[in-house]
Formats: sequence, C-alpha cells, structure tokens
Amino acid sequence: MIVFNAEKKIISQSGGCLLSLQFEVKNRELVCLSGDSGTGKTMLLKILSGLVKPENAFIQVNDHVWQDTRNRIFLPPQKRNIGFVFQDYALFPHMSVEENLKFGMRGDKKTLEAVLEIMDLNKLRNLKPVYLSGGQKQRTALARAVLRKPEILLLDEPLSALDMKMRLRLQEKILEIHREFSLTTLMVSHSLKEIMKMGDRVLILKNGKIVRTGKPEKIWKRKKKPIPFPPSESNPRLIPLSSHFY
Amino acid sequence: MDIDLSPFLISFKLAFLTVLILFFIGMALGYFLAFSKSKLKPVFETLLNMPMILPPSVLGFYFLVLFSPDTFINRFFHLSFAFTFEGLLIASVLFNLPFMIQPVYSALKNLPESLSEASYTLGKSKWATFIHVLLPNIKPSVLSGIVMTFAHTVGEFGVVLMIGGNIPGKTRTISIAIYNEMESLNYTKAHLYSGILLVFSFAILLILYLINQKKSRGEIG
Repeated sequence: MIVFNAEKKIISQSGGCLLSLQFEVKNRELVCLSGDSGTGKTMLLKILSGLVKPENAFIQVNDHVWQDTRNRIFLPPQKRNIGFVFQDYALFPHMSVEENLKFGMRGDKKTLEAVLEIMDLNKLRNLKPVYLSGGQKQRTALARAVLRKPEILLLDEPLSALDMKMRLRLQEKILEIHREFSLTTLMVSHSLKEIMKMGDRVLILKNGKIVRTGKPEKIWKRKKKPIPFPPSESNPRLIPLSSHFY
Repeated sequence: MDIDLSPFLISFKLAFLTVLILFFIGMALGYFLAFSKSKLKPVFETLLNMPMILPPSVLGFYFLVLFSPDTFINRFFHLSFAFTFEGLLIASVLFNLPFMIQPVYSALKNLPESLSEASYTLGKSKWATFIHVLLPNIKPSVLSGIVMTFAHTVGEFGVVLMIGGNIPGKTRTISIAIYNEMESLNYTKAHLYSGILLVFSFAILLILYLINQKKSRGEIG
C-alpha cells in the first residue's frame, strides 16, 4: 500500500500552482494518472521516487516511511525500491542494451535472460540505443526498470512516442510485466483508450490537485457527477499537509 | 647548427603537468557549475572565466606580486615561486582554467537530466553516476578541453615571461626561446622553432576537428 501526501510549489508553462496531492494505492494495483500538461503528473512520479524534494510530504510504502518532512525522514532514490521508465527512456547512449539492463540489475543471469526473452530483446542485446527504434527503446527501458526488482513501477508516458500498432503491443507487455512481477504500477497517460484498457483506477489531476478518481470505465461513463476527492477524510494521513503547517 | 631542445622539453613538461592537474580541477569545477544551485554561481563563473579576457600581462603581473618575497606565501610558508618552474605551473593552471572548465561545464549542462535521474533510480550514487554515466557521455568535450589546454600552454608567452623570466633550462619555454633567438638576430633558429610550433598547432587543431567530426557523426560519446 502506498500512502502519498505531498505539497510542492510548481512552475509550469501554464503558470505556477501549489501541487497538493493525497492518495492511496493498493498493492498490485495499476493506477493511471491523467490530466492536462503541467498539472503535476511527472512531478508526482519524481516526488514518489525521491528525485524531487517537496516542501511538505508524507510517503509510506507498506511499513516503510520513505519521506516525512515533519520528522526529517528522507529516503534517497537509490534506497527506494522503484523502477522508473522515463518519457525519453533515458537509456545510457554509451552502453549496449545488455549493459543498460545490467547497470542497476538485482538478480542473476537467469533473470536477465528471462526478461530479455519476455521483452523480445535477445537479438538486440549488443546494440547501442542509437540503433534502436522507439518501441525497442521502450522495451529496453521497461526491462531495465523491471530488472531492478522494484516494489513500485513508475511509467512516465511510456507509449506516447509510439505508433498505434507498437502501442497496442507494448500495452500488453506492460500488463504482462505488471502481473508477472506482482508490481504496483503508476502510469502517466493521456490516452483514454489506454487508461480504459490498462488502468485498475485513474487519478485525474487539474492545477496540481486530484479532482477525480475511480475505475476508468465508471469515470468516463458517469460524467454528470464527479467523484469527490479525497474519498475518505476519515484517514488522517490523507489530510493536506499544509493544514497542519499553516 | 646547435639546436637546444630544452625549451621544447620545458614547454611539453609544463603543458603535460598543467593538463594533468586541470583535468581533475576542471571536472570538479565543471560539475559544480553545471549542477550547483548556489546564488553565488554567477560570481564563481565570472571569476573562473576571467583569464579568458584578461591580458596575460595583467595576470602575470599579479602572479609576480603574489609570489614576491614580501607576500604571506613567502613569509609563512617560506615558498618562493617567482622565476621557478613551480611558479610557472601554478600560473599556467590558473591561466588555463576556462579552457578545461568550459567544455566540461557545457557538455554536462547539455546532457539530459533524465540520464542521471535514471542512474539514481537504478541505485547508483552521485559519484558512480558521474564516473559510469556522465563522464563517458562527455568524452569528446573532455578531449577538446585537454587538447585546447595543452596547445594553449605550449604557446603561452606573456604570463610565462613575467612569472618565469627567461632562465635557460629552467623556465625558458619554446615561445620565449623564439623571442630570444629573434632578439639575438638568429633567424634560422627562430624559423626552426616557429616552424615546429606551426606544425604542432596544425596537428593539434586537426585532432580537435577530427574529434568534433566523429562526435557529430555519433561515432564517439
């Protein structure tokens, strides 16, 4: 279970706003993050991974507190058990596919071979990223993140740069990986179809806040009544932190 | 004709040691400038790039003042650097700072942030990320910095003359030797020394262009 409660001032193309996000994610859930550009989706992933430090935050994953600004607890990204697939894939250009996969790998050669097989990367293992297509790069980035044996998989618009055929193929791959490795996954996506197909739940962000949440099919069928958020104010860990501070 | 090779040896020794010292300083300061969020960063940047625009004679003059017997360096540490090879080396390192720092700084600044972020999420420390991810991807720029620093040190005249003087076998570098031979009307020797430097400069620039060509083709880095 992820408990996420964070606040950070952000400046985007559409101006500045206070990011104030409170939500929970159950283990093995695949949650999609949707919303306009600059609403804080990528920032949310970066805060969760420890790459960005928010002003106020309480982040707990299962029994471990990853961040608690009030008690000055901060677990660096290196110690958070996450796999991150960046929007630009962030493959290391000077390393081959295999070297990229081995870079942060936990586990033995068997696991590496298994992941190479699942992701159809066997024939590409000695190639450098510059010689890979968009889909191949995406698969490599996904494989690299998975080989870290993460508790949480964070995907930042992983399919946005791909054509429809490749997109459909990789949606299946992500779902396969998500189930096979029993991951809790957060995925940023702008595609309604993708969210409908893949997401157990969707969080819709607007101006740095979560404005709607629920099962994707329910959200987009029931347009009249938006589901209020936070869903339960009885959980004290999900009360916006600034109310404690100011 | 009696050719004295010591100016070449002194110049190349000076250039080699300058590059060696500046390699480490350049990496550290380039990294600091690229990633620091300090408010004093513009001040550091200006200071480090001062040698680019200051006339060598001005730098040489201040070094000479700093190294003179009255200064605290001499009084407290009993070190006298004026007209010594060590003094020449210190001046050369400071004078060449921007030639090493600038390429490293620009290259690090232009790398996508996601590369280091990916490395951190893969469990690597900042040091491991620098060594295994950032450094291999700025290799051409580091090579440019090394080549430029080396060439600039070999050809430096003003600072060398003011700090090192013109002591044969100690501080007389190749550019000083050319000046010396010309003053003594030994044009044949001056021609020879200049010719060698001309070929050297051409070779250095050619190497630099070849590195850049390979870089743009994506063969390295």
